[in-house]
Amino acid sequence: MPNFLRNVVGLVAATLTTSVAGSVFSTQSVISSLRSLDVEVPLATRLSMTVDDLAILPSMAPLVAICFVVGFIVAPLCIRYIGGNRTAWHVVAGAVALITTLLIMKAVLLITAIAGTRSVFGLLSFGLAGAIGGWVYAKITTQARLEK
Amino acid sequence: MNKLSVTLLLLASLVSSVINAQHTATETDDYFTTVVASGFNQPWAHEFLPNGDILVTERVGNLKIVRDGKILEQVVSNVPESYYAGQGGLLDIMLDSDFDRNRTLYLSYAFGSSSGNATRLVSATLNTNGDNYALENIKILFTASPLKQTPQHYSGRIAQMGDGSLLLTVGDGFDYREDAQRLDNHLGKIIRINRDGSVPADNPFVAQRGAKPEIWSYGHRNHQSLVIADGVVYQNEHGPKGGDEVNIIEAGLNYGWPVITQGRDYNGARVTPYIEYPDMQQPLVDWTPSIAPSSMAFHMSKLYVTSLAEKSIRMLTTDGETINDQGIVFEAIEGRIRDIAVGLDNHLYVLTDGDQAELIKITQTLLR
Repeated sequence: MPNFLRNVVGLVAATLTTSVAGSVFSTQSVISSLRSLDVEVPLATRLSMTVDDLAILPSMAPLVAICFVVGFIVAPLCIRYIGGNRTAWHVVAGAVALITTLLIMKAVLLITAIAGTRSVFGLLSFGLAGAIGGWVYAKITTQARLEK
Repeated sequence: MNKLSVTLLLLASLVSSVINAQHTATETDDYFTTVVASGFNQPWAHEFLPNGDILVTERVGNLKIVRDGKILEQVVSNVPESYYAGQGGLLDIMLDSDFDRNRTLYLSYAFGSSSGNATRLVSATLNTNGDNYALENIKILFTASPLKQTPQHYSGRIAQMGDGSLLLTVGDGFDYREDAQRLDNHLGKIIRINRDGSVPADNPFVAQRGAKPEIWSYGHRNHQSLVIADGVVYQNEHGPKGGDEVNIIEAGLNYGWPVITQGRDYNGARVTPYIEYPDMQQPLVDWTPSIAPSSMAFHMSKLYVTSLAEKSIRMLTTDGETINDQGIVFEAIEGRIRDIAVGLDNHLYVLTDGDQAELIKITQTLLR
Protein backbone atom coordinates (compact mmCIF):
# COMPACT_ATOMS: atom_id res chain seq x y z
CA MET A 1 0.00 0.00 0.00
CA PRO A 2 1.44 3.44 -0.91
CA ASN A 3 2.56 5.57 2.01
CA PHE A 4 0.01 8.33 1.30
CA LEU A 5 -2.84 5.85 1.25
CA ARG A 6 -1.49 4.19 4.40
CA ASN A 7 -1.48 7.59 6.12
CA VAL A 8 -5.07 8.19 5.06
CA VAL A 9 -6.13 4.77 6.30
CA GLY A 10 -4.27 5.45 9.54
CA LEU A 11 -6.00 8.81 9.94
CA VAL A 12 -9.44 7.34 9.28
CA ALA A 13 -8.83 4.42 11.65
CA ALA A 14 -7.49 6.71 14.36
CA THR A 15 -10.40 9.10 13.93
CA LEU A 16 -12.99 6.34 14.19
CA THR A 17 -11.27 4.72 17.17
CA THR A 18 -10.98 7.99 19.06
CA SER A 19 -14.51 9.09 18.20
CA VAL A 20 -15.98 5.83 19.45
CA ALA A 21 -13.79 5.85 22.58
CA GLY A 22 -14.57 9.52 23.26
CA SER A 23 -18.29 8.91 22.90
CA VAL A 24 -18.16 5.91 25.23
CA PHE A 25 -16.08 7.80 27.81
CA SER A 26 -18.37 10.82 27.61
CA THR A 27 -21.44 8.68 28.21
CA GLN A 28 -19.83 7.11 31.27
CA SER A 29 -18.97 10.57 32.60
CA VAL A 30 -22.56 11.78 32.13
CA ILE A 31 -23.92 8.66 33.84
CA SER A 32 -21.45 9.14 36.66
CA SER A 33 -22.81 12.67 37.15
CA LEU A 34 -26.35 11.30 37.30
CA ARG A 35 -25.32 8.64 39.81
CA SER A 36 -23.87 11.39 41.98
CA LEU A 37 -27.50 12.54 42.30
CA ASP A 38 -28.45 9.04 43.56
CA VAL A 39 -30.09 8.26 40.22
CA GLU A 40 -30.00 4.52 39.60
CA VAL A 41 -28.61 3.46 36.22
CA PRO A 42 -28.64 -0.33 35.79
CA LEU A 43 -26.04 -1.97 33.56
CA ALA A 44 -28.50 -2.63 30.74
CA THR A 45 -29.57 1.04 30.74
CA ARG A 46 -25.93 2.12 30.78
CA LEU A 47 -25.13 -0.08 27.80
CA SER A 48 -28.20 1.07 25.92
CA MET A 49 -27.35 4.75 26.42
CA THR A 50 -23.71 4.11 25.50
CA VAL A 51 -24.74 2.57 22.19
CA ASP A 52 -27.36 5.25 21.58
CA ASP A 53 -24.80 8.01 22.11
CA LEU A 54 -22.73 6.72 19.20
CA ALA A 55 -25.17 8.84 17.21
CA ILE A 56 -22.81 11.75 17.87
CA LEU A 57 -20.09 10.19 15.68
CA PRO A 58 -21.06 12.08 12.49
CA SER A 59 -20.60 15.40 14.31
CA MET A 60 -17.61 14.36 16.40
CA ALA A 61 -15.50 12.53 13.79
CA PRO A 62 -14.77 15.57 11.54
CA LEU A 63 -13.61 17.53 14.59
CA VAL A 64 -11.37 14.67 15.72
CA ALA A 65 -9.97 14.30 12.20
CA ILE A 66 -9.00 17.98 12.08
CA CYS A 67 -7.32 17.65 15.50
CA PHE A 68 -5.36 14.64 14.31
CA VAL A 69 -4.24 16.26 11.04
CA VAL A 70 -2.64 19.02 13.10
CA GLY A 71 -1.33 16.66 15.77
CA PHE A 72 0.12 14.17 13.29
CA ILE A 73 1.89 16.96 11.40
CA VAL A 74 3.47 18.20 14.61
CA ALA A 75 4.45 14.73 15.91
CA PRO A 76 7.01 13.95 13.12
CA LEU A 77 8.55 17.39 13.66
CA CYS A 78 9.02 16.54 17.34
CA ILE A 79 10.59 13.22 16.42
CA ARG A 80 12.89 14.95 13.95
CA TYR A 81 14.05 17.80 16.17
CA ILE A 82 13.74 16.29 19.67
CA GLY A 83 14.04 12.59 18.99
CA GLY A 84 12.45 9.73 20.87
CA ASN A 85 9.99 6.96 20.25
CA ARG A 86 7.71 7.50 17.25
CA THR A 87 4.70 5.72 18.73
CA ALA A 88 5.07 7.61 22.00
CA TRP A 89 5.10 10.95 20.18
CA HIS A 90 1.93 10.09 18.27
CA VAL A 91 0.22 8.96 21.49
CA VAL A 92 1.13 12.30 23.09
CA ALA A 93 0.09 14.21 19.95
CA GLY A 94 -3.31 12.50 19.90
CA ALA A 95 -3.98 13.26 23.56
CA VAL A 96 -2.76 16.86 23.43
CA ALA A 97 -4.65 17.59 20.20
CA LEU A 98 -7.95 16.44 21.71
CA ILE A 99 -7.54 18.21 25.04
CA THR A 100 -6.30 21.42 23.43
CA THR A 101 -9.22 21.49 21.02
CA LEU A 102 -11.73 21.00 23.84
CA LEU A 103 -10.12 23.78 25.86
CA ILE A 104 -10.14 26.13 22.86
CA MET A 105 -13.81 25.33 22.22
CA LYS A 106 -14.63 26.11 25.83
CA ALA A 107 -12.71 29.40 25.67
CA VAL A 108 -14.55 30.43 22.50
CA LEU A 109 -18.03 29.12 23.30
CA LEU A 110 -17.80 29.95 27.03
CA ILE A 111 -19.57 26.65 27.73
CA THR A 112 -18.58 22.98 27.48
CA ALA A 113 -19.79 21.58 24.17
CA ILE A 114 -19.38 17.92 25.18
CA ALA A 115 -21.05 17.41 28.56
CA GLY A 116 -18.85 14.45 29.41
CA THR A 117 -15.77 16.69 29.42
CA ARG A 118 -16.99 19.20 32.03
CA SER A 119 -14.98 17.52 34.78
CA VAL A 120 -11.20 17.10 34.85
CA PHE A 121 -11.74 13.34 34.77
CA GLY A 122 -13.94 13.68 31.70
CA LEU A 123 -11.44 15.93 29.96
CA LEU A 124 -8.59 13.51 30.70
CA SER A 125 -10.68 10.61 29.44
CA PHE A 126 -10.96 12.42 26.11
CA GLY A 127 -7.20 12.81 26.22
CA LEU A 128 -6.99 9.04 26.65
CA ALA A 129 -9.29 8.58 23.65
CA GLY A 130 -6.96 10.83 21.66
CA ALA A 131 -3.93 8.87 22.86
CA ILE A 132 -5.51 5.62 21.68
CA GLY A 133 -6.10 7.20 18.28
CA GLY A 134 -2.49 8.34 18.16
CA TRP A 135 -1.35 4.82 18.92
CA VAL A 136 -3.55 3.36 16.17
CA TYR A 137 -2.21 5.89 13.66
CA ALA A 138 1.39 5.21 14.66
CA LYS A 139 0.99 1.44 14.36
CA ILE A 140 -0.66 1.58 10.93
CA THR A 141 1.79 4.09 9.50
CA THR A 142 4.81 2.40 11.10
CA GLN A 143 3.83 -0.72 9.20
CA ALA A 144 4.01 1.40 6.04
CA ARG A 145 7.51 2.53 6.87
CA LEU A 146 8.65 -1.04 7.52
CA GLU A 147 7.19 -2.28 4.22
CA LYS A 148 9.07 0.49 2.47
CA MET B 1 -71.27 -1.93 12.31
CA ASN B 2 -72.83 -1.88 8.83
CA LYS B 3 -71.60 0.16 5.84
CA LEU B 4 -74.25 2.83 6.30
CA SER B 5 -73.18 3.39 9.92
CA VAL B 6 -69.54 3.66 8.91
CA THR B 7 -70.38 6.09 6.13
CA LEU B 8 -72.46 8.27 8.46
CA LEU B 9 -69.71 8.23 11.07
CA LEU B 10 -67.09 9.30 8.54
CA LEU B 11 -69.40 11.99 7.24
CA ALA B 12 -70.07 13.30 10.76
CA SER B 13 -66.34 13.27 11.46
CA LEU B 14 -65.64 15.17 8.24
CA VAL B 15 -68.30 17.80 8.98
CA SER B 16 -67.01 18.15 12.54
CA SER B 17 -63.43 18.65 11.39
CA VAL B 18 -64.50 21.25 8.83
CA ILE B 19 -66.47 23.15 11.49
CA ASN B 20 -63.53 23.00 13.90
CA ALA B 21 -61.11 24.15 11.23
CA GLN B 22 -63.30 27.13 10.39
CA HIS B 23 -63.64 27.98 14.06
CA THR B 24 -59.86 27.90 14.56
CA ALA B 25 -59.19 29.88 11.41
CA THR B 26 -61.64 32.59 12.40
CA GLU B 27 -60.40 32.86 15.93
CA THR B 28 -56.72 32.95 15.08
CA ASP B 29 -56.74 34.93 11.87
CA ASP B 30 -59.03 37.76 12.79
CA TYR B 31 -56.47 40.25 14.00
CA PHE B 32 -54.15 42.95 12.81
CA THR B 33 -50.76 44.11 14.00
CA THR B 34 -49.35 47.56 14.57
CA VAL B 35 -45.68 48.41 15.07
CA VAL B 36 -45.64 50.60 18.17
CA ALA B 37 -41.91 51.34 18.13
CA SER B 38 -38.82 49.91 16.47
CA GLY B 39 -35.06 50.01 16.81
CA PHE B 40 -34.50 48.21 20.09
CA ASN B 41 -31.14 46.52 20.55
CA GLN B 42 -31.54 42.99 21.96
CA PRO B 43 -34.58 43.72 24.14
CA TRP B 44 -35.63 41.16 26.73
CA ALA B 45 -38.81 42.38 28.39
CA HIS B 46 -41.32 45.22 28.49
CA GLU B 47 -43.67 46.65 31.07
CA PHE B 48 -46.54 49.13 30.90
CA LEU B 49 -46.65 52.16 33.16
CA PRO B 50 -50.07 53.48 34.27
CA ASN B 51 -49.52 56.75 32.33
CA GLY B 52 -49.18 54.87 29.03
CA ASP B 53 -45.40 54.87 28.79
CA ILE B 54 -43.77 51.52 28.12
CA LEU B 55 -40.42 50.51 29.62
CA VAL B 56 -38.25 48.11 27.62
CA THR B 57 -35.14 46.38 28.91
CA GLU B 58 -32.21 45.89 26.56
CA ARG B 59 -29.66 43.26 27.53
CA VAL B 60 -26.81 45.71 27.03
CA GLY B 61 -28.12 47.48 30.14
CA ASN B 62 -30.53 50.13 28.91
CA LEU B 63 -34.02 50.65 30.27
CA LYS B 64 -35.70 52.46 27.39
CA ILE B 65 -38.87 54.52 27.43
CA VAL B 66 -41.51 54.31 24.72
CA ARG B 67 -43.79 57.33 24.71
CA ASP B 68 -46.43 58.08 22.06
CA GLY B 69 -44.92 55.53 19.70
CA LYS B 70 -41.36 56.80 19.95
CA ILE B 71 -38.32 55.55 21.78
CA LEU B 72 -36.99 58.43 23.86
CA GLU B 73 -33.30 59.18 23.53
CA GLN B 74 -33.02 59.50 27.29
CA VAL B 75 -33.06 56.13 29.06
CA VAL B 76 -34.13 55.52 32.64
CA SER B 77 -31.18 56.57 34.79
CA ASN B 78 -29.51 54.75 37.68
CA VAL B 79 -30.16 51.29 36.26
CA PRO B 80 -27.77 48.88 38.02
CA GLU B 81 -24.82 47.79 35.92
CA SER B 82 -25.27 44.29 34.55
CA TYR B 83 -22.85 41.70 33.18
CA TYR B 84 -23.46 41.80 29.45
CA ALA B 85 -22.11 38.57 27.92
CA GLY B 86 -23.57 35.44 26.36
CA GLN B 87 -27.21 35.38 27.42
CA GLY B 88 -26.52 37.79 30.27
CA GLY B 89 -27.31 41.45 30.75
CA LEU B 90 -30.37 43.37 31.86
CA LEU B 91 -33.28 40.93 31.75
CA ASP B 92 -36.79 41.24 33.18
CA ILE B 93 -38.82 44.15 34.53
CA MET B 94 -42.04 44.00 36.54
CA LEU B 95 -44.07 46.62 38.38
CA ASP B 96 -45.11 45.85 41.91
CA SER B 97 -48.81 44.99 42.21
CA ASP B 98 -49.13 48.10 44.37
CA PHE B 99 -47.12 50.31 42.01
CA ASP B 100 -49.72 53.09 41.96
CA ARG B 101 -49.00 53.73 45.62
CA ASN B 102 -45.38 52.65 46.14
CA ARG B 103 -43.84 53.33 42.66
CA THR B 104 -41.80 50.14 43.12
CA LEU B 105 -40.56 47.99 40.28
CA TYR B 106 -38.33 44.94 40.07
CA LEU B 107 -35.45 44.22 37.72
CA SER B 108 -33.55 41.02 37.12
CA TYR B 109 -30.13 40.97 35.52
CA ALA B 110 -26.85 39.09 35.23
CA PHE B 111 -24.54 40.28 37.94
CA GLY B 112 -20.78 39.80 38.16
CA SER B 113 -18.05 38.99 35.66
CA SER B 114 -16.61 36.13 33.66
CA SER B 115 -14.90 34.77 36.75
CA GLY B 116 -18.12 34.73 38.78
CA ASN B 117 -21.66 35.76 37.86
CA ALA B 118 -25.24 35.11 38.86
CA THR B 119 -28.89 36.00 38.35
CA ARG B 120 -29.81 38.94 40.59
CA LEU B 121 -33.11 40.57 41.55
CA VAL B 122 -33.41 44.16 42.75
CA SER B 123 -36.24 46.47 43.70
CA ALA B 124 -36.23 50.19 43.00
CA THR B 125 -38.48 53.20 43.14
CA LEU B 126 -39.32 54.78 39.79
CA ASN B 127 -39.21 58.53 40.19
CA THR B 128 -40.14 61.09 37.60
CA ASN B 129 -37.30 63.37 36.59
CA GLY B 130 -38.81 66.00 34.32
CA ASP B 131 -39.98 64.08 31.27
CA ASN B 132 -37.78 61.15 32.18
CA TYR B 133 -37.38 58.60 34.89
CA ALA B 134 -34.77 57.67 37.46
CA LEU B 135 -34.43 54.64 39.69
CA GLU B 136 -33.91 55.34 43.37
CA ASN B 137 -33.79 53.31 46.58
CA ILE B 138 -32.27 50.40 44.72
CA LYS B 139 -32.18 47.36 46.95
CA ILE B 140 -30.64 43.99 46.15
CA LEU B 141 -33.28 41.42 47.05
CA PHE B 142 -31.59 38.25 45.86
CA THR B 143 -28.40 37.00 44.21
CA ALA B 144 -28.19 33.37 43.13
CA SER B 145 -25.53 31.33 44.85
CA PRO B 146 -22.93 30.12 44.14
CA LEU B 147 -21.47 32.36 41.47
CA LYS B 148 -20.86 30.54 38.20
CA GLN B 149 -18.41 31.10 35.37
CA THR B 150 -20.57 30.53 32.30
CA PRO B 151 -22.49 33.50 30.81
CA GLN B 152 -25.46 31.28 29.88
CA HIS B 153 -28.79 30.15 31.31
CA TYR B 154 -29.62 32.97 33.71
CA SER B 155 -33.38 32.65 33.16
CA GLY B 156 -34.43 35.70 35.24
CA ARG B 157 -38.20 35.95 34.77
CA ILE B 158 -40.07 37.63 37.65
CA ALA B 159 -43.65 37.07 38.81
CA GLN B 160 -45.61 38.20 41.83
CA MET B 161 -47.94 35.99 43.83
CA GLY B 162 -51.23 37.06 45.34
CA ASP B 163 -49.65 37.53 48.76
CA GLY B 164 -47.11 39.94 47.29
CA SER B 165 -44.16 37.55 47.42
CA LEU B 166 -41.90 37.37 44.37
CA LEU B 167 -40.96 34.41 42.21
CA LEU B 168 -37.77 34.43 40.14
CA THR B 169 -36.53 31.82 37.70
CA VAL B 170 -32.83 30.98 38.05
CA GLY B 171 -31.28 28.94 35.25
CA ASP B 172 -28.89 26.04 35.59
CA GLY B 173 -25.87 27.91 34.20
CA PHE B 174 -25.51 25.34 31.35
CA ASP B 175 -22.37 23.60 32.62
CA TYR B 176 -23.87 23.08 36.09
CA ARG B 177 -26.98 21.15 35.13
CA GLU B 178 -26.77 18.56 37.92
CA ASP B 179 -27.02 21.42 40.44
CA ALA B 180 -30.66 21.79 39.37
CA GLN B 181 -31.27 18.64 41.44
CA ARG B 182 -29.29 19.79 44.47
CA LEU B 183 -31.00 21.93 47.07
CA ASP B 184 -27.78 23.46 48.43
CA ASN B 185 -27.65 26.02 45.60
CA HIS B 186 -29.99 28.23 43.55
CA LEU B 187 -29.14 26.99 40.05
CA GLY B 188 -32.01 25.44 38.10
CA LYS B 189 -34.63 26.64 40.60
CA ILE B 190 -37.59 28.93 41.03
CA ILE B 191 -37.01 30.97 44.14
CA ARG B 192 -39.59 32.80 46.24
CA ILE B 193 -38.84 35.78 48.45
CA ASN B 194 -40.78 38.58 50.04
CA ARG B 195 -40.79 42.09 48.60
CA ASP B 196 -38.05 43.08 51.04
CA GLY B 197 -35.85 40.11 50.14
CA SER B 198 -36.62 38.08 53.24
CA VAL B 199 -37.61 34.43 52.99
CA PRO B 200 -41.30 33.55 53.43
CA ALA B 201 -41.79 31.28 56.39
CA ASP B 202 -43.93 28.89 54.35
CA ASN B 203 -41.34 28.19 51.65
CA PRO B 204 -41.11 24.40 51.14
CA PHE B 205 -37.48 23.86 52.16
CA VAL B 206 -37.15 26.40 54.96
CA ALA B 207 -36.83 23.69 57.58
CA GLN B 208 -34.63 21.34 55.53
CA ARG B 209 -31.04 21.34 56.70
CA GLY B 210 -28.56 22.29 54.00
CA ALA B 211 -31.23 23.49 51.59
CA LYS B 212 -31.41 27.08 50.37
CA PRO B 213 -34.54 28.48 52.00
CA GLU B 214 -35.46 30.60 48.97
CA ILE B 215 -36.07 27.51 46.80
CA TRP B 216 -39.70 27.11 45.75
CA SER B 217 -39.31 24.44 43.03
CA TYR B 218 -36.36 22.70 41.40
CA GLY B 219 -35.16 20.58 38.49
CA HIS B 220 -35.36 23.39 35.91
CA ARG B 221 -33.02 24.20 33.03
CA ASN B 222 -33.46 27.62 31.41
CA HIS B 223 -36.94 28.87 32.25
CA GLN B 224 -37.58 32.28 30.75
CA SER B 225 -41.33 32.37 31.30
CA LEU B 226 -43.40 32.60 34.43
CA VAL B 227 -47.03 33.67 34.54
CA ILE B 228 -49.49 33.59 37.41
CA ALA B 229 -53.18 33.49 36.50
CA ASP B 230 -56.07 32.67 38.80
CA GLY B 231 -53.54 31.56 41.40
CA VAL B 232 -51.92 29.02 39.06
CA VAL B 233 -48.20 29.38 38.26
CA TYR B 234 -47.44 28.58 34.63
CA GLN B 235 -43.86 28.20 33.52
CA ASN B 236 -42.03 27.16 30.41
CA GLU B 237 -38.41 26.32 29.85
CA HIS B 238 -35.91 25.68 27.13
CA GLY B 239 -34.83 22.10 26.75
CA PRO B 240 -31.55 21.43 24.96
CA LYS B 241 -32.12 19.84 21.52
CA GLY B 242 -35.79 19.08 22.11
CA GLY B 243 -37.44 18.81 25.47
CA ASP B 244 -38.89 22.33 25.70
CA GLU B 245 -41.57 22.22 28.38
CA VAL B 246 -44.62 23.94 29.78
CA ASN B 247 -45.30 23.18 33.43
CA ILE B 248 -47.68 24.17 36.18
CA ILE B 249 -45.46 24.85 39.17
CA GLU B 250 -46.28 23.79 42.69
CA ALA B 251 -44.19 24.46 45.76
CA GLY B 252 -41.55 21.89 46.62
CA LEU B 253 -41.88 19.78 43.48
CA ASN B 254 -39.06 18.46 41.33
CA TYR B 255 -39.43 19.11 37.60
CA GLY B 256 -36.78 16.60 36.62
CA TRP B 257 -33.94 18.32 34.74
CA PRO B 258 -31.43 16.80 34.01
CA VAL B 259 -32.61 13.37 35.19
CA ILE B 260 -35.64 13.32 32.91
CA THR B 261 -36.03 15.12 29.59
CA GLN B 262 -37.22 14.41 26.06
CA GLY B 263 -34.31 16.45 24.78
CA ARG B 264 -30.74 15.58 23.87
CA ASP B 265 -27.54 17.54 24.09
CA TYR B 266 -26.83 19.81 21.14
CA ASN B 267 -24.31 17.29 19.78
CA GLY B 268 -26.95 14.55 19.80
CA ALA B 269 -25.78 12.75 22.95
CA ARG B 270 -28.24 11.74 25.61
CA VAL B 271 -28.52 13.92 28.69
CA THR B 272 -30.02 11.02 30.58
CA PRO B 273 -31.46 7.60 29.82
CA TYR B 274 -34.77 8.59 31.40
CA ILE B 275 -37.88 10.45 30.32
CA GLU B 276 -39.60 9.65 33.60
CA TYR B 277 -38.40 8.93 37.11
CA PRO B 278 -40.09 8.58 40.52
CA ASP B 279 -41.06 11.84 42.25
CA MET B 280 -40.29 13.96 39.17
CA GLN B 281 -43.00 15.92 37.38
CA GLN B 282 -43.84 15.33 33.75
CA PRO B 283 -44.24 18.42 31.55
CA LEU B 284 -47.82 19.24 30.57
CA VAL B 285 -46.60 20.19 27.11
CA ASP B 286 -43.38 18.99 25.50
CA TRP B 287 -41.94 20.48 22.34
CA THR B 288 -39.53 18.10 20.64
CA PRO B 289 -38.00 19.32 18.39
CA SER B 290 -37.44 22.59 20.20
CA ILE B 291 -39.33 25.79 19.53
CA ALA B 292 -37.18 27.72 22.09
CA PRO B 293 -39.93 29.31 24.23
CA SER B 294 -38.94 32.80 25.32
CA SER B 295 -41.94 34.30 27.07
CA MET B 296 -45.56 33.69 27.96
CA ALA B 297 -48.68 35.72 28.67
CA PHE B 298 -52.14 34.85 29.94
CA HIS B 299 -54.87 36.62 28.00
CA MET B 300 -58.59 35.98 27.78
CA SER B 301 -58.27 32.55 29.43
CA LYS B 302 -55.50 31.43 27.09
CA LEU B 303 -51.74 31.18 27.32
CA TYR B 304 -49.63 32.67 24.54
CA VAL B 305 -46.05 31.44 24.19
CA THR B 306 -43.47 33.22 22.05
CA SER B 307 -40.57 31.34 20.53
CA LEU B 308 -37.14 32.13 19.20
CA ALA B 309 -36.25 29.08 17.10
CA GLU B 310 -39.71 28.44 15.68
CA LYS B 311 -40.22 32.21 15.29
CA SER B 312 -43.81 31.87 16.32
CA ILE B 313 -46.52 32.56 18.86
CA ARG B 314 -48.42 29.52 20.07
CA MET B 315 -51.79 29.56 21.79
CA LEU B 316 -52.42 27.11 24.63
CA THR B 317 -55.66 26.38 26.42
CA THR B 318 -55.74 25.41 30.07
CA ASP B 319 -58.17 24.50 32.81
CA GLY B 320 -55.60 25.16 35.52
CA GLU B 321 -54.59 21.49 35.68
CA THR B 322 -53.95 20.50 32.08
CA ILE B 323 -52.58 22.46 29.12
CA ASN B 324 -53.21 21.85 25.43
CA ASP B 325 -51.17 23.34 22.62
CA GLN B 326 -53.56 24.73 20.02
CA GLY B 327 -50.81 25.58 17.56
CA ILE B 328 -49.36 28.69 15.96
CA VAL B 329 -51.36 31.93 15.86
CA PHE B 330 -50.68 35.47 14.63
CA GLU B 331 -48.56 34.15 11.77
CA ALA B 332 -48.18 37.63 10.32
CA ILE B 333 -45.55 38.32 12.96
CA GLU B 334 -42.26 37.02 11.65
CA GLY B 335 -38.83 36.43 13.11
CA ARG B 336 -37.55 35.47 16.52
CA ILE B 337 -39.91 36.70 19.21
CA ARG B 338 -38.49 37.60 22.61
CA ASP B 339 -41.34 38.76 24.83
CA ILE B 340 -45.10 38.97 25.12
CA ALA B 341 -47.30 40.81 27.60
CA VAL B 342 -50.80 42.15 27.99
CA GLY B 343 -51.06 45.94 27.74
CA LEU B 344 -53.23 48.26 29.76
CA ASP B 345 -55.62 48.34 26.80
CA ASN B 346 -56.07 44.56 27.15
CA HIS B 347 -54.26 43.80 23.90
CA LEU B 348 -51.22 41.62 23.45
CA TYR B 349 -47.86 43.24 22.77
CA VAL B 350 -44.79 41.37 21.55
CA LEU B 351 -41.13 42.29 21.33
CA THR B 352 -39.13 40.78 18.52
CA ASP B 353 -35.52 39.73 19.08
CA GLY B 354 -32.24 41.04 17.72
CA ASP B 355 -30.56 44.37 17.16
CA GLN B 356 -33.37 46.09 15.22
CA ALA B 357 -36.22 44.75 17.29
CA GLU B 358 -39.80 45.97 17.21
CA LEU B 359 -42.59 46.35 19.72
CA ILE B 360 -45.76 45.14 18.04
CA LYS B 361 -49.36 45.44 19.17
CA ILE B 362 -51.77 42.66 18.26
CA THR B 363 -55.38 43.74 17.94
CA GLN B 364 -57.77 40.83 17.97
CA THR B 365 -60.83 42.26 16.29
CA LEU B 366 -63.12 39.55 17.63
CA LEU B 367 -62.37 40.68 21.18
CA ARG B 368 -63.36 44.31 20.61
